[in-house]
Amino acid sequence: MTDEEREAAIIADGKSYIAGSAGHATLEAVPTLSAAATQMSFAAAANQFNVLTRFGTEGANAVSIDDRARATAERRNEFESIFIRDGMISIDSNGGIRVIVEYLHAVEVIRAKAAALGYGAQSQTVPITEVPGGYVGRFGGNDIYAAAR
Amino acid sequence: MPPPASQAFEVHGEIRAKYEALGGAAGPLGLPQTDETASPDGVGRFNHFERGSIYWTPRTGPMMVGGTVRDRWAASGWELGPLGYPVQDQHRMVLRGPLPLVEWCRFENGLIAGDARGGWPVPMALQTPTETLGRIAQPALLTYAELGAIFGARINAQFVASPDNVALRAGVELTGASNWKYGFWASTSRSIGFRLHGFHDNGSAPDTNFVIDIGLRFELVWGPSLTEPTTKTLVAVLDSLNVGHDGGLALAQVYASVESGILHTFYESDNNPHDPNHPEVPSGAIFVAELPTGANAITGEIDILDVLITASGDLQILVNPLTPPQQALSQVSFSFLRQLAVQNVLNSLT
Repeated sequence: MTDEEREAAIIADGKSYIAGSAGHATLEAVPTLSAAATQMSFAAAANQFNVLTRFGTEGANAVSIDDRARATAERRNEFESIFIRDGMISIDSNGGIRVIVEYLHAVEVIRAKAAALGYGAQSQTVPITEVPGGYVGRFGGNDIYAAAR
Repeated sequence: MPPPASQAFEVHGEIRAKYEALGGAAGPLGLPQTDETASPDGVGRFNHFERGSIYWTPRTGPMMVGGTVRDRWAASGWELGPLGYPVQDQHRMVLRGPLPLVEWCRFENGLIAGDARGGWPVPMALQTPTETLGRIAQPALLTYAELGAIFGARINAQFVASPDNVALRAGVELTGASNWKYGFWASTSRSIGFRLHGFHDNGSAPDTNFVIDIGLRFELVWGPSLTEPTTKTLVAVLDSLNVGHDGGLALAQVYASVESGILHTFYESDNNPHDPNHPEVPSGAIFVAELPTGANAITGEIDILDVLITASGDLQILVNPLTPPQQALSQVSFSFLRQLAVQNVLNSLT
């Protein structure tokens, strides 16, 4: 398959996906992601999340159909690969993918490290949070970092 | 290289504070790759990160070094090598375009410069006298004795001009170089000490002899600039001053007067610049010389990077050892050429 054929296939895939979910809801009709998550099918929600995260609410109507279709196809592949790998997937309120297994793994190693250093659970000052490339747990004046896998 | 996912690493204390100040995991260093670890010399501590390290000692503070500069430092033996610990965060030349080319880090005993684009060799440019002597070029410097002569003459001129009956005796004693002092963003430089002897003529009464102990640091300063300045000003900063009894008739008033006169040389009572021609010279410092840096904010060329007081008390000008960005690599020693040019400027001061 040539690059041009591959590109055309990706866009066609995205268009098909958008068409398949269009009957459930449209972006303009769904003001918030939380509303989308409760009212739409997973497929429609995924498409909705994709549009918002890729283009933002204002930009969603400004991009071309092809761009939207391409981004949709890429996003769907991303969702699928994470789901196949981890068996679950979570999407936060901003449309970002939060990989539960990765997060739980980070929590595990950070807490193990904290315990090894003698920091009790009560010394954890904020929840373990995501940082670029990984996660951090803060225990008083001590920070423990774990990389995302 | 990202750290292994099965491990977690702790950052705390001053290193944590510097890491956070540099942007934490979102900054230039990335995620930690080690826990805070004691240096082999038992003095310092460090964390390695994905793209650099932060080294801390009580006498230098937490400093960041990374990329090819860190690689070159590691090859020289890290902090146990001739350069010692970093004394300033690694930084890059500020250009008028998006691509900084030269980055460098100053250490206790020298400097390493690298090409920020990566993939270019980091030459033998540690610029310690040990490293350069007989192989590349003599480092551009004013010796401790030359500095003593310069400042002895300068203070003597002040005494000669004074209407009081005070004078300095010939000769300046060199009392040694101090160590680096703690700083969060940059360590406070070594200072070098001078001792001068003088007297106050009390007429028919015995003279009042006094001794002046003065400590000076040397720094480069410059006025506001959005890009790397083309000229920087070498200043001497007053680090310490003590005037005491040295025999003869003891008169506290004389000691206080001499001390006040010297302080007035460094500090203006109204906080105005000493020299209207050099408003960049801060209070507490005096102008020594203008140094053309050779910086070109468009091409990325630069000759002078920084200054350093060596452990033996010499003032060394740290030049850029790298080949100019627009030229192919050659056997030309740009350290040699630049050090010669800078030495000519320094020679004009002696």
